[in-house]
Amino acid sequence: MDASSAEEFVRLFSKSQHRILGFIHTLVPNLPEAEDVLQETSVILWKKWPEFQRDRDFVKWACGIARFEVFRILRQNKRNALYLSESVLNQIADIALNDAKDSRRYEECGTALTMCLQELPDSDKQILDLRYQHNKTVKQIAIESNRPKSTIHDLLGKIRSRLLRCVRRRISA
Amino acid sequence: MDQEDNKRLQALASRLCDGDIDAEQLQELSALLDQDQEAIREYLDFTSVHLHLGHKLGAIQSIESASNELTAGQPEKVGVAQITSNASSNNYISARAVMIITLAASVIVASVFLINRFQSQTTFIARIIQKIDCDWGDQRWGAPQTALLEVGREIKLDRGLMVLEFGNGAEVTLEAPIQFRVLAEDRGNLSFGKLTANVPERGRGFTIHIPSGEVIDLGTSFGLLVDEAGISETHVFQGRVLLRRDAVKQGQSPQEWELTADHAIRIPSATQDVEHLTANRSHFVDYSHFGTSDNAEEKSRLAVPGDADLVLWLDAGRRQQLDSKNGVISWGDICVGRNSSEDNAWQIDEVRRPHWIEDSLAGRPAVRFDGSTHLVTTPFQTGDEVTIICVFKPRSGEQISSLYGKLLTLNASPSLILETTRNNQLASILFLANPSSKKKRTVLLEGPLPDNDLPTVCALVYSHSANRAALYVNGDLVSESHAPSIPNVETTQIIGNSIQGVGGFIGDVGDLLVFNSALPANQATELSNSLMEKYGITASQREPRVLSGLIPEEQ
Repeated sequence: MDASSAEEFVRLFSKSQHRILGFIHTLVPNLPEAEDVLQETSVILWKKWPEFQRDRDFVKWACGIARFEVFRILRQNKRNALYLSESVLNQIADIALNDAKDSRRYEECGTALTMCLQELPDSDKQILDLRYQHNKTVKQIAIESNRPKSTIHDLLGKIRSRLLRCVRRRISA
Repeated sequence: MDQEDNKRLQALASRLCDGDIDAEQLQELSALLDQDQEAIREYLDFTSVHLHLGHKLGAIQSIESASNELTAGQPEKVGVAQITSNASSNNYISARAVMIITLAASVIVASVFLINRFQSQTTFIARIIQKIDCDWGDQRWGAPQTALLEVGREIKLDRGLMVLEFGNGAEVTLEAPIQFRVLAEDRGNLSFGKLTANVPERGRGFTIHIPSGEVIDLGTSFGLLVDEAGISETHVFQGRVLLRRDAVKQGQSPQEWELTADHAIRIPSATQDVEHLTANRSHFVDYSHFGTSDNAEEKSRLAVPGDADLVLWLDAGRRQQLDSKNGVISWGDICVGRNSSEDNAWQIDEVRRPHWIEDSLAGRPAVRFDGSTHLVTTPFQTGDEVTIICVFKPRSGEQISSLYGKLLTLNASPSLILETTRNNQLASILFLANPSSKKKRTVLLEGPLPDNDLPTVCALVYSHSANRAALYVNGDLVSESHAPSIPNVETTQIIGNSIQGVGGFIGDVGDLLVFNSALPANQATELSNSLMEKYGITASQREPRVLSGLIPEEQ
């Protein structure tokens, strides 16, 4: 492999890794697990890079490989972890693979979400900070805030739903 | 989807995002999503909020900034330590993010290594990168999740192949039965068994200890064999190795030989002299034997649709690994277009190997099956949208006397089978083997095979979404049927036999292609025609065909 080819891989992977992670995340919504899959996938992509045909879409190629990697890992974890049925995951993957090509939509969602976050009340922002910034589990948040776990689940669900409505509103506007 | 369902879907998806969902809730979520595109879109939008929150508020943001730094800076100035240090200075970054950044960076640093040809620091001692029908862990195929091997780890195998990658880049294929121990990132110990090693330039000096001494790589590919009595053979396929024999008596110096390509040395026992031999590659199974698949020319000659989801292409003229009796150890998948992963077909068991025949189908090579021999592919996914194209010739007399001759068995249960039958017919079968119920064999398609001594090109196109299965013989449609649902599963596929090992195919196979899509009729016939041309079957030699109009029956 020559230097320019390796450079090209670095460039494409760096540019696309969020979209690849985005695709993996549709099948493995738990972020730490999705990140694990991205790590495994990045190694495979690197190994398979010499086979990549330059006229193909890199993200689509990478997501196709990531899809197999997800299913391989899901099957290995079957005994220890819970996942959606394989048939449903395949349906999700088919739709998500098409979406993965649309980088504009991905960026629009990100921009809209930044603005939507500013509209949240402080109490909701605090919950999100605990969950995402401090990487706390729902159980940890429940203990620290002295509230039942189910309440935290409900709160996080409602905040995300609210943000989704806001994002849709902003994009359609 | 009504509002209540939508609300419930979001609540369940939210729990899934937080990694705190039970089996019952997952089942409920699966049911809400199954066959409902609107629900899936809602799920995707909802989970994408979670992902974006991760980007904006959490650890993933740090990957982005680190990545930007990497791509913006000069590659040779970037290292893992620098990235980790930058990440650590961020107060809120989690330990997990540091790990991810480090790993992500390691890929990029690996690229930098290639660019500059610098020595790279290794991050592991050894790891399992592939298993082929191997009795190690729960899964017999593929790389296990816990693949890292620590110093001192002993590997004992009774069956199959295991491929290891050492920290210095050496790739070692272990062939059962074997007893092997990992000693360091650049060395291992072979107590008994067979292995092959392919060592890149940066791994020069890779060493395998054997009972009578050690074998040191000098930039090469080699095979090693040690029997249970400690008798060893070192075969060099490429480059050079240094074979060092320990001193037999006190006061003696160790003996050394530098072996070059095609040379081998046998050390019979401690007191006997060594024997010089010619290296024999066919004694060894080598996972890396295939090399890179180059198929552009063949692709252009065959009408392989570029946009179809080709998952397997085996051509008897290319990419076999044969043993000393021309038994097929492995048949390599030709990667082309979207078929980017090699689903090679294997037979580790010597007595079950089909044989490669150089001049069989119209002067072209073929793989010959005898009814008990077969090949098993590495696992890949198929379901109820599939096309199988096969060039084959049953051995007249022998196959006709057998009830069935299974050319290809796809999927576990129900299996989609392509087979020849006693009355010189070609059939497609759905076979359900449920342990709790009787076996059910449903003949979906059946059509006559040409009554001549030429190979036949058949195409089975199966589409559950269109509820249509069609069988083509030499480009002509000979049978149609409905197409019941088959679950989409990833599994090994069997060539030349059934899962149960009953009713194997007797005859020769030249080309075999599997697509994970139902090819349109024109593409199936175009591909059939180009294969007919390849095997010298002209249109005038076609047998007249009558569409069977078979109504599927259950037997």
